Amino acid sequence: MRLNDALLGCILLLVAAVVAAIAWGFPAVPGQDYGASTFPLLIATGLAGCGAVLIGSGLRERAPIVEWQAWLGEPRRVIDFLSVITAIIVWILAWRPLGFILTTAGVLFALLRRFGVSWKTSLAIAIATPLIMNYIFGRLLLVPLPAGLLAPIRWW
Amino acid sequence: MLGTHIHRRALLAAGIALGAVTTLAGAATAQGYPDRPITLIVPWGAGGGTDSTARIVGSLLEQELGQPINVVNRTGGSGVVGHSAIAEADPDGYTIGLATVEIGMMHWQGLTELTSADYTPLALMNFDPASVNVREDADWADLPALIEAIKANPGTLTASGTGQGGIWHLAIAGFLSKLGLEPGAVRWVPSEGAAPGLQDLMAGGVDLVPCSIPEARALIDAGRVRSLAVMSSKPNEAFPDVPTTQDVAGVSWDIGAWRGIVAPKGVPDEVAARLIPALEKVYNSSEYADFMSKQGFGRQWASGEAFGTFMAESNESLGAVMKEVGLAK
Amino acid sequence: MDAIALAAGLVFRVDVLVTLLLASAFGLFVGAIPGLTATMAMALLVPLTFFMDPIPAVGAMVTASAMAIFAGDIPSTLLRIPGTPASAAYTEEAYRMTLKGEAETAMAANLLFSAFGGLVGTAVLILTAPYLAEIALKFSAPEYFWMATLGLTCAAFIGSGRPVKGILSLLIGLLVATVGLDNPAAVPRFTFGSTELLGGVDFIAAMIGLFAISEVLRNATQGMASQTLPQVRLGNPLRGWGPMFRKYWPQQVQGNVVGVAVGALPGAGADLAAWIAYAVSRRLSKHPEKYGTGNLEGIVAAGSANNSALGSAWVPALVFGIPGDTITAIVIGVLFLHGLNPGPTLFIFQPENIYAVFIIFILANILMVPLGYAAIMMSRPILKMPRRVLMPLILAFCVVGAFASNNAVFNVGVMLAFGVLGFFMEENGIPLAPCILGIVLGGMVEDNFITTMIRNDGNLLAFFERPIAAGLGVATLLIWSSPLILGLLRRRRAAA
Repeated sequence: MRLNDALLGCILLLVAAVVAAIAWGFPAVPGQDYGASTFPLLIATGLAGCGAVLIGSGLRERAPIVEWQAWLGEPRRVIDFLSVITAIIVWILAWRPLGFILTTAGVLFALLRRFGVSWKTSLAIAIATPLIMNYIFGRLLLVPLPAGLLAPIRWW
Repeated sequence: MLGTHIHRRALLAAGIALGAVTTLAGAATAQGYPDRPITLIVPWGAGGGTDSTARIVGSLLEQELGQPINVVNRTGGSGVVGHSAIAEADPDGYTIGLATVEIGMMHWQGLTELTSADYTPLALMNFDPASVNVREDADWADLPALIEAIKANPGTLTASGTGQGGIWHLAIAGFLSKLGLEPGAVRWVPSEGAAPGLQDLMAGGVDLVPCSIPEARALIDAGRVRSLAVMSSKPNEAFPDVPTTQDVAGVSWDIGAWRGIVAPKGVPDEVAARLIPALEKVYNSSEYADFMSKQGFGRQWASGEAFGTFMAESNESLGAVMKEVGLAK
Repeated sequence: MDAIALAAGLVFRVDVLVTLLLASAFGLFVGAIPGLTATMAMALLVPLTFFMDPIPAVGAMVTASAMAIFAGDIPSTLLRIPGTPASAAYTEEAYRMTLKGEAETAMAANLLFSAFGGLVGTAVLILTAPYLAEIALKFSAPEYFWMATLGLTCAAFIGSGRPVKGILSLLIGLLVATVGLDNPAAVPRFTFGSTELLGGVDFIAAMIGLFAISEVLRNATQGMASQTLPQVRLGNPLRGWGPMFRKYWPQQVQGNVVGVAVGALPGAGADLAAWIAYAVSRRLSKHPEKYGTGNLEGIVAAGSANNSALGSAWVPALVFGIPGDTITAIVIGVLFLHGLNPGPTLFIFQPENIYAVFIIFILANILMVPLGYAAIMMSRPILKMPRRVLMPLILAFCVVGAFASNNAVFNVGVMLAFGVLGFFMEENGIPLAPCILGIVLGGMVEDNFITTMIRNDGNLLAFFERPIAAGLGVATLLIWSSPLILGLLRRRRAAA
């Protein structure tokens, strides 16, 4: 999805306005001219400047307002794209309740199948990967991966 | 309770299906605690004194409990993020944390609702009083001379060593107010910690750094920094020559950074009963004493209720200073 | 000379050498995994070093950190996922080489110049530590402000495409850096009431999102069925080193000079050194147009810089106990623990220990060649793996990496948000690298600006009052205005 520069510029102006409005409300450091709002306001000014330049060039360019790439017309690709995002969201939501191993096994299996890997290979990868990762990260590198539902089971 | 047991059994079957199961640990109650690794949350980053204290306590506690202790850093937001993570963890004894003095400061600033009352206090492990450090070639021979200089020109001298409203900021501001001076008579220059503050002191950016002595130690040993006084009722063991503020300025002012082990509120009594004696053994071990004295850190012990009272008192006195200085909301 | 013999005796012992080997393998592994940084490798080693003798303890940290910084280049080259932040400056460049089928050349160059840069950093540490430390100690807020501003200027040289989009990307990064409580005024900004956001946006999670997740998303839009990238086999990558060394020596020298200088400044470190070296080499290159298309020059400069910075970061640490970066901050703690208190006295009273550390530095960088070579060989199968298998696995590693960077699920969300943002930015021709630079340097620019202002009661002249600050400031302003001046000169010449 490629936006016309003019549209991108308008979005930037809007973002700059929001940033500036929020930054305006930051309390000042007593007795100082420069404080918490100084930098956000400078950044907002910069964003607005970029926005203005982009609006200028976008209007000259005469490109379509939004240019839809080819993949957006192919349902398969769109589903692939959305499945990656969904996978990460599932990871986030199931992370603590289900635990690392179960979540990762499930998500990997679904993704591999979605991308057209065979049943057997998918199953093998989906089972082996989380167990290996749990051992390396959880046990050796002490990353506190949640055990979730598998908490009562002792892993060696 | 019954429900969870059935639930867990069902999942055990699932676990066997996964083909990686060996044995089932004891029931989910506190009996047989601990039967799996414990997570120790540290609200500050790797490389600081808090982190290394947590890691030595963790490795010694591991020997006591026979289960791995995973030290986990949850940094950011001047400690708010990590302290919240400790309080919000499941109170099952498998997540504990290292609380620091900041727990008694951040709620006064309106950053969080969290106070020391939101934890089960286990054990106070360390206390380091603030001290007043200046460059070796500074004009002031001792603390009274420095105080005179501040009185003569209030608002010209600068100090650094932590963020705006951090513990060392409160130390100097509270000290000035005890002397009857404006808390702002020394301008506070925020920094990310004692090390950058000391670096700035050396670079001539600020005039004094009111951090703890262990933090300034390398520079004191190198003859680049002088410590004029400790803000404590008794001198530091590692630096007995540095006088107290009571001795040289006639002001009794106790303030410093402490670190202690806490659990989320509501952990089973059995858990606390297991952890506190284990921590006491750690505290009294020669390894811990050795580690702390080599780093120059002070040891101070309090457990359970007594630690809770200590945190509550610390909370009140910090709150009083913060209101005085105008940092409290 | 006795001290050196004593030191050699301390190092060349079976137990010490075995420790160094194990630490190397550990460092390579941790560095190669996104989300697990060299700093984290150090933190994990701390409890182990409590129970070791001082020399193997410090040696383990030296070798592990050197290996980790190099190993970060491997996933960065193969998968466009920087293993450590120090690789982020040239991730795009190295990945472009993989797309061209030159992954082995890129990794061989990384290895050669990392090891060589490490040796240069070590030489500087050995020969000039006390003097360099004195200069580094003169750096205060105004000097750091100019340093960081100079760093931001690099954004103009790292992105390809239209300047306005590079600046936009930088501004996005700067805006992200303002989130949270960790600013000089200690005011929560853009946190929308979230406790997690009080801590700010985790840089590592954001970096993984911008680079890796956006790449996975792009792969999804192109169809996972597309096969592997054909690669040019080098056979033995070591064979190409002679010509490579002769061809790229100017970039290597630039990288090392920048690395040593930036690394010695407390708080700057290897990450920043890599960015500046990349930008400097582009500015001085005869073919700046090739940058960003998979060009070795930038990789050589930045790869040399981050490893040489590692050595010189020890200068202020050993001489004054002031950490140059988070890695040395951890090392200082370990030094104290073993009675090797940092300070000038360490050089006078315990020279054999200091020399032993130096010998380990040299050993570590020599060891890096065979071990790094083995790591490159072991990583090669990644390129043969079909994308549809590789992409889900990459996702799993990214999720764990983002989580591990601050042990928070929230960071996985941050990673996702930045992945989508990165995808959208690239679709619209906005380069990613300046955004990362903005996140890295935003805090440093702001902190030092506000700090200087507080200290001098808002007097802007304070930025030019101290000699080093004035020098850096004038240099920065000259660099900024140089295109303008050159343009004017050219116009005048054309008119005449």
